[in-house]
Amino acid sequence: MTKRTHRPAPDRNAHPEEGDLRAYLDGELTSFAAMRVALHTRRCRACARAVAELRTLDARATSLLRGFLPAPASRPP
Amino acid sequence: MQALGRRTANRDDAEDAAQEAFVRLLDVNPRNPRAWLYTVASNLARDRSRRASRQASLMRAHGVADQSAGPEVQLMQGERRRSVQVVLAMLPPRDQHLLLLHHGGASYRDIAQALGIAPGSVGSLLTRAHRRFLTCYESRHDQADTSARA
Repeated sequence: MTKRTHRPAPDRNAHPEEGDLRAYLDGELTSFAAMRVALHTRRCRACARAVAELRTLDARATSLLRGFLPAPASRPP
Repeated sequence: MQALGRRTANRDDAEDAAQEAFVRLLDVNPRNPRAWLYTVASNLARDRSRRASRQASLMRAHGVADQSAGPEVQLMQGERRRSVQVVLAMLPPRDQHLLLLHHGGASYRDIAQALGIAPGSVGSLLTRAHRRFLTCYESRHDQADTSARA
């Protein structure tokens, strides 16, 4: 008789990794993963705070780096 | 002149383009001088506009301040760009590439491919790079403030 093995179902209440929060802000998650993060952050204050902190971090870095990077090339008329 | 003005960033460029077209007209003898003038002046105006835009983009890339801003603002912009450049150079090369690629508009997939890392790790590596960059930038500014007060 073959032994059945299965991976445990992911814990729905587990906090997303910080990298996934970052990817969520950058719109880089699949729509299903993004929805899970959105639902989680609505009921988890710690993750909502983490998202807010990442947003601040990104805004600050963007404001510093924006002036440094060349503007994207505009299309000829 | 209004039509030319729409092709350039400012009125001076439009006037210069029109003047240059008139000078060129003296050397050629077109069948329809009016149409010829309009076409040549439009092309010259467009070239000037592109050149100005390329120049502005290069100046931004090389940390030269916006010439249309006041002298104090120019000084601050230039100083800030130099600081950003110095701080970026202090970071590990991978962090530099991550920040420049991300803020240059690259997707996670493109970043992963360019740096030879797993796409799933881009988010966490990017967060770490942001933290290092801001920590270095702020500590550099704190040091500058302290030495200025001393």
